[in-house]
Amino acid sequence: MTISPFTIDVYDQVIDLWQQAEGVGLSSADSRESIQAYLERNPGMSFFAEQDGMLVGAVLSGHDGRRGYIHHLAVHPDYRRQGLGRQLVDRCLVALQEVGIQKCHLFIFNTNLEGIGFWESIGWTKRADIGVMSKNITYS
Amino acid sequence: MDDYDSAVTLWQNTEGVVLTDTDEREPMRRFLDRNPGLSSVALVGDKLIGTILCSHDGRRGYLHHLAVDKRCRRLGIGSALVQRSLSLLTKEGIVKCNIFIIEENEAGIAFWEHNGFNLLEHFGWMQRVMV
Repeated sequence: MTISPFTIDVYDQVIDLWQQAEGVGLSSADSRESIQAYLERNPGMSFFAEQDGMLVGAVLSGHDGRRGYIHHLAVHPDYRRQGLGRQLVDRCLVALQEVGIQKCHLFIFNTNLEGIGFWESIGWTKRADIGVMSKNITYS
Repeated sequence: MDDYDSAVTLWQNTEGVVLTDTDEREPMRRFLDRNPGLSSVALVGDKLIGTILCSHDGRRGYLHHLAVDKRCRRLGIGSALVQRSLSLLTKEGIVKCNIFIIEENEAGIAFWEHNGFNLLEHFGWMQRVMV
């Protein structure tokens, strides 16, 4: 298994993986142009995993200068329970720390108990005291 | 960065703004460098009476530390700071903006709802502290 930086070359394969991943909600922010802009803003912080000549895992990470954010961690169902998700996340956290980021956040469906369990098992904490408010700001 | 000292004084006197290591001078400089032109202050004469920090990770916008001097509230300054930030984010190609808020802060939640934000019911968030 090899982990490599996510470049736009693997976009199509990653989208296939995300479409099959429960818990990954795709939106307009996942278009090729949007992902390209995201990777340019956060170079070397997103990764994919390859095994048996197949793309089997991917994760996006980036930061706003204050907090890191991880999005769309996905591992192909046949390749789970081998530590692959954790390795992908570790690569993100190292890259974020290298630019001085000390805390990382992610958003997760409250009903995704398997996902929450995974993140808790690798040191993450669900924050129930602080809520998230959101606004769509497309005016077109 | 010239406004830093006045901004910290305002934040220290604003309920709902929680200061952390990230609000020290050097991290704040890095934050402003990462998001040039996105954060705003409100001035009366040369006195700083309002702030908002605005940022994005290339995917979602984030607003932090919205604060207005107690003597200058209910004049729409907070909303003006928010609207200005959202407009700047759309120019950067960002289509969704998030804020984090203490769930017990009912006045704060009402303010953000008035400005078109909705509390996410189905989503939570998780955090990892790296150091």
